[in-house]
Amino acid sequence: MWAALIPIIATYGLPLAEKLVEKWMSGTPPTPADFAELRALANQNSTAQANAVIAQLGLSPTDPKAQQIIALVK
Amino acid sequence: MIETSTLFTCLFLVLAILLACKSVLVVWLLKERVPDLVRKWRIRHHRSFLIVFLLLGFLATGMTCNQNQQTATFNTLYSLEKSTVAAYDGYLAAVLAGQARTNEVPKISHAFNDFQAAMVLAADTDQAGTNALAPPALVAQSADLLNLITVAKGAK
Repeated sequence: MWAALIPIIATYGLPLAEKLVEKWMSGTPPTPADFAELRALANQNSTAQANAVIAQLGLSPTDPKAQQIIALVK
Repeated sequence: MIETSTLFTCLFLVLAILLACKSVLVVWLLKERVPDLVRKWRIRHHRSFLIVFLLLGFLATGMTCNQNQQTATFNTLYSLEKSTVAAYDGYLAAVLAGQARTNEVPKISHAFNDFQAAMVLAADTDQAGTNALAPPALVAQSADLLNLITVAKGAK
């Protein structure tokens, strides 16, 4: 397990790895809420994801860089 | 008596550690000794990364073999989704910060959208209780996308 997790921790950080371990170790069958969460994540297209990243970085949607990215990801 | 599943998990573990060590060693050797071949290393490194990533899928499935198939598949799909979204977010943040070029953004975004569409289908199939494994094509799609992102980030 750790061999698989080490590259993930190195690439994406500890919080994500922790969440994945929690999921793997829980052993409980996925609930409808779990599927809804997965589906909600999978329904995010590139534009939605770019908007989320722009917001996370504290950039304004009218910022030239932000507008360039939005145009490119479409 | 060691169970077969434990034996396979250990085997995957050793293989994954060896591949990770090989990647680190190749990076060091080429960067230190043969800088001209760094580009060539990237190709090798990506191949190793792809294998490690595929092993992750097998491990996730193997570790959860005492659970039912739906749970195992869900955990694999969830891990793939989280890793891929995190990589794409990181790439966009790098582009916005000027640390990666914009040239590959349309191609990577197209690949991301394809992956997401395939993930919705896979989640629907899993929830329907078909006891299907995580589609290998989806795992490969995710690995390809991560490779594209790694190359695009390194090209600056």
